[in-house]
Amino acid sequence: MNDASQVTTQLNIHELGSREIGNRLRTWDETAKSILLTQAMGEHCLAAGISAAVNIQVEGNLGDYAFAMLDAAEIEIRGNVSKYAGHSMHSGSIQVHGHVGDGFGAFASGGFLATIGRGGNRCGLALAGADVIIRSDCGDEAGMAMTGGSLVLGNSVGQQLGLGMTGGAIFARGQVGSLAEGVRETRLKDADALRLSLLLVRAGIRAAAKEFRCYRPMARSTE
Amino acid sequence: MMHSETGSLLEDLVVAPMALAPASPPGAHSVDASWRITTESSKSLKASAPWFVRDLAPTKVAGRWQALCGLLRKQGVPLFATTQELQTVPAGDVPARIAQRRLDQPLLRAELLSADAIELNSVDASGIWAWPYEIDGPRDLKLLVNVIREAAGADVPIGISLPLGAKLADLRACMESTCDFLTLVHCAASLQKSPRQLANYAALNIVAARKYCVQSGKPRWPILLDAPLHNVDQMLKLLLLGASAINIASLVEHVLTEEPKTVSESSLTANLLGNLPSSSKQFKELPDIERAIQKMKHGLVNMMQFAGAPTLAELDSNSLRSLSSTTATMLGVAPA
Repeated sequence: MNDASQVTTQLNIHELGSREIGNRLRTWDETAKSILLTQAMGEHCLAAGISAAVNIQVEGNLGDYAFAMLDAAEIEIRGNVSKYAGHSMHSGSIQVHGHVGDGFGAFASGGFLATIGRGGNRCGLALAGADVIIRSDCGDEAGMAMTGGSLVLGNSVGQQLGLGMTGGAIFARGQVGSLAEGVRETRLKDADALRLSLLLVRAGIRAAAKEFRCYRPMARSTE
Repeated sequence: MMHSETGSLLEDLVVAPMALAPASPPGAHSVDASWRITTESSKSLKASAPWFVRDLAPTKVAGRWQALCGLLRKQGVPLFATTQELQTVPAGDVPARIAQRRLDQPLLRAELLSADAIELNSVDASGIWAWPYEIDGPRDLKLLVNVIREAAGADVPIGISLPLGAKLADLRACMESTCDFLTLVHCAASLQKSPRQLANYAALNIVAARKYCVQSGKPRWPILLDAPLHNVDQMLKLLLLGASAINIASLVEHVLTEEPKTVSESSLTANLLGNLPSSSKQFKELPDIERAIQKMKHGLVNMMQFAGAPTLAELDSNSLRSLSSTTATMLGVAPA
């Protein structure tokens, strides 16, 4: 039996252009639910605002605002992405097999974002409910203005962690450059540990939850 | 220090009549007071006159929100509103909607997709202006505009708000971002000024911004002005000085909620309005809002006819004369 939904459609970003790719994906009504985007060469704003329930694999590096405002789709990127990937994401997932730039998962209100590489500054900026995982080192001001969700940092973290955060939780394993004012280390509760374990498994990171420290704002907003 | 004749730059200005008297009676010349913002793809936001309503929350107009929306639609006045604010308004009463993305908010696809235009509003809840978190330089602003354009389907006009008193570098960054319009807004700093100071401040800023547009080769780049002005005469003169459209939310709110205050007009506008209802009338209900908007449009049309400008684009500061040499110098207007 041939299941049409298992068929993969291949689109060449370099040939079609990122705007055409975005237009096709935003109005995707084909049977194929698996899409391979090839020859990514640092295009900006790729596939912003798509909401089709599809699986997308990207080969190559992407520029800024990749998959911003994502809803429902599952994305896997085999390359690096620049700034603000997954900005304002609503649901779905973005997994990056490479490094990410500044603001990974900024303003994301739902879904799952993970990278096996390093993260730039302000990762999880204004995070509002999504789960963001950075396996390696991360820059300054991670979790800035965060109001909800989880930010998991698998290695060393820069300065001013959690600057202006009012909600959510940051889990860090490595050395923290400095904590922002109003952020404190809290005990890792059982529920936190369970949730963190599940996130680590999903991101393919071999680590135990107990290796992480938990940081929260001193006066938490209601989540 | 300003040393104009009246202390008000705008009050020092008068509209110059067209060079040759019209052969037909005044009023016989048809003028086009409509206004639009176009994108590169030629899609546009259209309005019947150069006004819009911005930052008028439904709670400010109590139970008359739905009726007000219907009125704005009928009058062709765009409204800055969220989809949530228009949820209870029947589809037939929804005016052209300009969506806003505030600096501390995510980009909401549903808001962007259904909007007739989109504005990046960087004034926070306490009235302080700052670039959004994502912006470290002009390149970042351009990318933010691009991603909104992409998500909204590439066709919707996108604008950026700057505060009155913004630096030239910020204005340049907006222009280079490929956005389609600019909104100059009052914020916490300008609210500390008296109405007269605010009108002067708005006039100087509009003149400076328009001058920059001319120098940059975009003389007609749309500049929306949001300042809490109640004076119709001032609003019309600001259009001549370079504003493309003016926020009339203050006027609407003023008419709806405050009594026994009146819609103030100078003798110039009162003369232009002819036998329309007296400016001393106290407006309280929606029909009075409608009448006020119609009066403004009538005043504008009369002003255009008086100045011999068949379209809004041809109504510029060349149609103004200054009664004060200081004002003439400050605003770049010819002396009377």
